[in-house]
Amino acid sequence: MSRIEIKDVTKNFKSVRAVNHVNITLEEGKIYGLLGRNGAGKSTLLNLINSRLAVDEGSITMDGEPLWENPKVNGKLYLVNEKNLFPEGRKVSEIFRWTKEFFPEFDMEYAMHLAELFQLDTRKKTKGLSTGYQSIFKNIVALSTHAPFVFLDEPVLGLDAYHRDLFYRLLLERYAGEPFTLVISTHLIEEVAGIVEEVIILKKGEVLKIADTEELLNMGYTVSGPASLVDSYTRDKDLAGADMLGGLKTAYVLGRPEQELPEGLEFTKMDLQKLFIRLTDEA
Amino acid sequence: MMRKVIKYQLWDLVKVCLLYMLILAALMLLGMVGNDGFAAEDGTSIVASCGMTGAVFAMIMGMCMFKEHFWMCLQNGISRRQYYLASAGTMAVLSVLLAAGELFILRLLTAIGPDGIRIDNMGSSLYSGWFAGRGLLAALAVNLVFTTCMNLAGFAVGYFLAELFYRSGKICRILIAAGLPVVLFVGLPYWSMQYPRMAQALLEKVTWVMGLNQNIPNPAMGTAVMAATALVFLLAGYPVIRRAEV
Amino acid sequence: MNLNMESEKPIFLQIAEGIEDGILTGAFPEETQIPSITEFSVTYKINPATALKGINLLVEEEIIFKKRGVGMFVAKGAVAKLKKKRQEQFYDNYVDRMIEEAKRLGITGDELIGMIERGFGK
Repeated sequence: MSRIEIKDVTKNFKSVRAVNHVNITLEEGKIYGLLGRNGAGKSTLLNLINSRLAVDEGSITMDGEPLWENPKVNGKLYLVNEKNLFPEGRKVSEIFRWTKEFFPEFDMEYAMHLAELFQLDTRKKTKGLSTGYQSIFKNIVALSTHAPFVFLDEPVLGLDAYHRDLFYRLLLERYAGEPFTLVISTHLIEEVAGIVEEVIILKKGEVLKIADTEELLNMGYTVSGPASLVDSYTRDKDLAGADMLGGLKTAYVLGRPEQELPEGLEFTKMDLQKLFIRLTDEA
Repeated sequence: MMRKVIKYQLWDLVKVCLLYMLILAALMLLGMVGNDGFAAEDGTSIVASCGMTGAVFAMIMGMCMFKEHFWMCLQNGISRRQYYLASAGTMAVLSVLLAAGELFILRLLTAIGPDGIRIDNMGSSLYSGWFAGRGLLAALAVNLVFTTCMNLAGFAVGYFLAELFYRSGKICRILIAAGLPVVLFVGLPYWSMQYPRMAQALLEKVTWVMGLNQNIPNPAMGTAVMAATALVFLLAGYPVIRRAEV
Repeated sequence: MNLNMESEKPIFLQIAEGIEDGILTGAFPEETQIPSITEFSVTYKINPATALKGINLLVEEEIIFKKRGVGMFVAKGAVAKLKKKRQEQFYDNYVDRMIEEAKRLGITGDELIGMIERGFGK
């Protein structure tokens, strides 16, 4: 069982500590969601894992082998992020061909099939692609490499709803057919909540929480109803916040609801988006 | 893996090199037209010389290829060390090919041109004393080796400059971009005017180490100098990118 | 089957109940194959592990069985088993709540019974 161990990793940029003593284990064959606000350190972390940046402290290893400058891990990882490291003047088909050269397991048929599904013209040069199609093209490459560890930094940047939906389905299909480790970094929590098995939340360069999605969803619940009823119910509870609309109040409670619920109040699942906002609030 | 990187780099640059060869041939051809040339020691008439164009082209290619290839390799998980060694290999291969191409063009044009003309490159003009009267094969071989080393030096310098640029902040880049030409084209001539004796002494040292200071100039020494230059810049370049980031 | 991400009920439970509904309505007849984990996962955009969890629940209750290398099938007698299970849960899931709402609206027990008789008479 391969796994990537990120131990006590720290990265500074001039006077800013972008990643601060982070410890994470990435297991084989699991889908991870890397969540965090802008500037929380998600992209930096992904870059560090993939040797685009060098760590200042700590180590990143795969089965004991360091990932930095190590030819032994060639072909085992793949990262796509918004920075286009591919030569701008080259066609998509040429990029496919050369990726196959460096990643022998690259499935060319699959890549071309995906390109067709997304209506991506592989004869186009990468610089001629719109933002959305840049994301699409890079995602296709990443999914086709058959690397055991794939990292997607904001993969749906610029994608319309149709393409987003298609992307998630194709991703799941690929994963279900042959599980690999996938780390998706995103802001769109609601979209990935169902797909992701484990969530890693970063806040100001540190790991705030690592949990199963189910665990995270169970961290709290929503109570709504007449304001006075809600207030009396939540008097002794730990609140993550509240919204008020006229006389109707919605409170976001941390913890689990009791077996017997009082009348007049409606109880629903904690809104993941709201939970995320509360957790990562830097106030 | 390094072989694959070399393959990629060669594939990427082959069109540019062919284009360069075509332009070079066309320009040399034009230079021959209606040109009586000037007499050389061996009785032929020199109508044209392509001088250092090969090395200059190599330097420019070295400067341009660095970042794009570096990024392509990082995207594909290649280590910086693998990438650097492969680049050195690519530069060596291209140096030979460019030199061979250059010599081929010169030979071809000499053959199709009127009798008694001669077209030079840097090697054959600097060391014409040595080349005079040599057999064709020996001349080509020595010229090939010299030109290859000169091209490689050009590559290495261009590449090194590109690396410095990549890793420098804005101020450093301005210093390099502005400073280098100023030092070379203003500073150096001014200095040689102010201190003519020192400049003369320096010039003598340079011509001596290049093997030009003798009755029959020595291309082996010039070749060694070029090779050493290439080596120095290649070695100096690795520490610069060892920890380069994106 | 509609997945409700907002519901308090975990996704895997919703998957299990959705399959149960399919079995009861005859959409998934006994001894026929149900869609694969991949199909569930892709159709509802959920992690295959979640879909698997839901299906394993049904395997445990012997509603579904897995045939190695072929797929997953509805067990014989599943319909009867499910009916029995749901009948046991009927009071809690429906009756209790109906009575609560009736009380809230001030409908008496007799009026409620009258409504039920009317419904069955239809």
